[in-house]
Amino acid sequence: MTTLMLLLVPLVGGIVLFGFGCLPKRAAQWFNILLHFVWGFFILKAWISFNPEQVGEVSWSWNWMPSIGSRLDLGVDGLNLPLVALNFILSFLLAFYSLGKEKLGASYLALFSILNAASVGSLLALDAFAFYVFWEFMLIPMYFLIGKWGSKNRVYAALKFFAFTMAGSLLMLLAIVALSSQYGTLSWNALRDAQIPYDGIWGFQGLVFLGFLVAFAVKIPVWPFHTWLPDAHTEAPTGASVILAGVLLKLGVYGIARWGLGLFPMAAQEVAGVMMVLALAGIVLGSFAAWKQSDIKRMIAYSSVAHMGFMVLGLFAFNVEALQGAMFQNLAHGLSTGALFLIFGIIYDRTHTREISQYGGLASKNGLLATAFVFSAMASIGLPGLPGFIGEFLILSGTFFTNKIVACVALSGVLLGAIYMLSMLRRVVFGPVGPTLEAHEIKLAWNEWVAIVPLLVLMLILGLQPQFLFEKAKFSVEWILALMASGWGV
Amino acid sequence: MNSIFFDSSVFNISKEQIIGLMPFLILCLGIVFTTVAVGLKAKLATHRCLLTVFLAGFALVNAASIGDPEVSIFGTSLHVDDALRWIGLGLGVLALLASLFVTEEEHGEWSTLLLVSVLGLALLPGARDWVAFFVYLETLAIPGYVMAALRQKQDGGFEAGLKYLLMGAFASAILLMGMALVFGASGSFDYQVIREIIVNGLPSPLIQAGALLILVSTAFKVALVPAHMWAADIYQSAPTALAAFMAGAGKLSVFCAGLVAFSKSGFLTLEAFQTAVLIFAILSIVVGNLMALTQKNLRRTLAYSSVASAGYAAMVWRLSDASLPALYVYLLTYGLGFMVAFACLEIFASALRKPSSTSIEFSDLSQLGAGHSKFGVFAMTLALFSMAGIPPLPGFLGKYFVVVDLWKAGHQLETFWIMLGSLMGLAYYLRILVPLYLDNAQKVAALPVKGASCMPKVAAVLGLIALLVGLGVFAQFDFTSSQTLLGMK
Repeated sequence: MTTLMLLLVPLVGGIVLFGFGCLPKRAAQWFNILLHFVWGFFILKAWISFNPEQVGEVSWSWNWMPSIGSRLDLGVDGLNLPLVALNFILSFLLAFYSLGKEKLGASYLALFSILNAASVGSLLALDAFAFYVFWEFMLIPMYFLIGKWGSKNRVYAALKFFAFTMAGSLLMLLAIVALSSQYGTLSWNALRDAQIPYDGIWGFQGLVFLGFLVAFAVKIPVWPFHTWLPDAHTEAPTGASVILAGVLLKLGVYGIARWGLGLFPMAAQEVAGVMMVLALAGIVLGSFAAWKQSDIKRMIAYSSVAHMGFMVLGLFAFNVEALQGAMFQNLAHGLSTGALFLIFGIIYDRTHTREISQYGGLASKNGLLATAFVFSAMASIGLPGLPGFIGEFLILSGTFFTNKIVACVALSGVLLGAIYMLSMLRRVVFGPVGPTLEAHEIKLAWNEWVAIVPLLVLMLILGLQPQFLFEKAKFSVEWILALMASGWGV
Repeated sequence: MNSIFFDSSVFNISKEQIIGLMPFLILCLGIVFTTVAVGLKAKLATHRCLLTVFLAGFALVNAASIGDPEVSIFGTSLHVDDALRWIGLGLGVLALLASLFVTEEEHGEWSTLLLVSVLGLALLPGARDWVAFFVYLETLAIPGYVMAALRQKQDGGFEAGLKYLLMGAFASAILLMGMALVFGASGSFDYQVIREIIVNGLPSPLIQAGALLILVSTAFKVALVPAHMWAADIYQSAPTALAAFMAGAGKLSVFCAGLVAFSKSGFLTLEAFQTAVLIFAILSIVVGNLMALTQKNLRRTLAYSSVASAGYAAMVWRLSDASLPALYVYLLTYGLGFMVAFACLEIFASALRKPSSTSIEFSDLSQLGAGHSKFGVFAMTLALFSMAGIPPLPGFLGKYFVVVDLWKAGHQLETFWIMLGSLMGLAYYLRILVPLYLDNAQKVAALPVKGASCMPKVAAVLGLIALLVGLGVFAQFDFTSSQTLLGMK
């Protein structure tokens, strides 16, 4: 029941929030916070009662569509629980951020809540069809969030986001159709137990895996499917950027781990080489692209492309270090990039420009905010003591076991990351006060601090004490790798 | 011949047969009542009441008799089974929704014509020989020609009506020609007999040609490319009630009847026939979607979207009548979405102070203010996402059934066409949403519009409810059990 509530609270809350349209904006904003407290209660309950020795255990099931052999199976395990928690934390802090913002009224918050329901739903779903339904449903609220509350080119960005993701998802739908006609069931556990036989990448398992992989690769995004991301990130409103970076991209990594490696281990091994090359391309080209950007949000978006490349490496290195690293980096990157988008969003609310050249001297205008910004950027670069370091270190050392050359090339991404991030910081935070900051006062309201500070604290905790998370995910990760190594026991 | 017309046994009607005929008798009664109402110069409200009572009665009796034994009536002329009853239920709902759009201008003979057309549609999938098929097809088509051209005041309305009449007559002639060829080669109009001849012997070129001619004329009725030319004009310029009726109810019945006829008379085993269906389907998907992308007028866009959707449905024509449930669910959910979209266009038209929805263009939409059209905008969004096939909206379920059936039958490559079409479709569905939500253009002040009919709103609400109920029913239906949807096994 708790598992169902994780999904139901934001869904029902979102629908109720639509009804707040006729009340003052404050009412909707405070109700949204109340809603997050209720949601948080269930998240906490799930976290405490969580049994890490389980993978794919169905804790709530409803025979919702017998006509297509699909059940609404929901379950919590080490793969999805940390991401559900991350989704909650980011959304909770954004609820505080939106307090008092004139533009962010009932319908914005309602769409946001429904987006949360969809993303949590696709995390918890243990049935391929249910997973697809939630996965696709995410597009609708996100389309409106970008298209309605975004900046100048929002309509184009929203359409591009929708079309790219949908194109990938349709191939996944075909893969699901193929699975359903072959096996008559769509449950993750049943499909795994069916041990889909492998006969080459152009055989059944291979093609179905490719269908899933394309959908996830677009979402992550893996180079060369990444072009929608910079547009979507740049044009999206702050909240949507944070959730996009913090949750939606992570769903791609999660999807490969559960629906890719878990069901089609041999096909995954077959494409590992190609995926590693694409990941490297993403890391190197993404880093260079980020270096050259003059728009801060675009720069952070390209840095996401590069960082997500690391996670793909971790997924396809097939050892405990790399996979743990990928799952950990998923959280770390969600926090650090989320914080970067949030902090810059707060600045942008006041200055309304994203040009790096217009900035400069943030440190002398608001030292505390500048500190928070630098802190998040350092976490993103991978400074030891902060979570980015742990994630990238694990991924790189894991990859090094599998392929030394790949690890060495990927290492250049860490270096490039430091270069573009630091040069951005130099131009935005330090130096003389630039024209925009000259003209605008950067004073933060209490609720904006409430949104930022917990993120920084969490990053510090994850950076210094990552062990508790590894323990949560350990069993699931080792289980997947054992599965891959066994090769259906042949 | 004599088995159809001169067999004395057909006049001995049993109790089961009378019960089987009940829904159709209700429609006939409705035709009598509305004719009398026309004679008495009844008001629009009276006609509305009559239409509602008889269409709802038709739908309810169909629903109530689902599960009754199958009966054949008048030899092969009519076979009443659960499939026919389900189709009747869907037709009743769609026609009822469409009848809500009947306006002051069109009432009168209109309601009679509509009921006659529904009668033809309701009988069509029950035909088990080609003569009956032809008679039912003309029963539904001839009132359509009249409705399309009657009392046309709008620009292009008369042209559309004439185009429809000429092309319809042409299609009927082709159908007769095809039937004649099939009869010549097989000596029978009976589906079953023709099937045995095709399956057991080498199909003669005569039968092949006849089957292809029949396909062409049916393709015209459901507006498959290249026989789609009338569709855009009719959907744009004809009265809203007719356009909605033909797009929803018309397609549902003719597609299902086509599948039953082609499957039962063995045409689907002919290779040339299969290829021709595939060509029709692919052309419809590609051309329909491309044309929809280039339109400025909203009703024309929806018309081409409907052409594309006919392409998806035509893919099912390549399977067998075991795929009737998939076809039915797809067409019903699409038709309901289409109906809601049309209702919303009517709501927009009155908000924009236009006489009717025929002239609404994309550029007009951005003027729609929040105020009174808020509900219309919301309903339009749901309808469009449903037609685009985004889960969890009902339209997705229909498309999913179609894709699964195609996949299971080994037509994997065809499913890619459907996916490609869905992706293209997304572009113009979202294009409608952009001015509704995302533009910050000057909005029209939300003044109450005097004298605006509330009927479109009623239609939109009912359509959404029907979609929701449909989602519940079709999702919960267990296709894997022996008692499957539409009584098909």
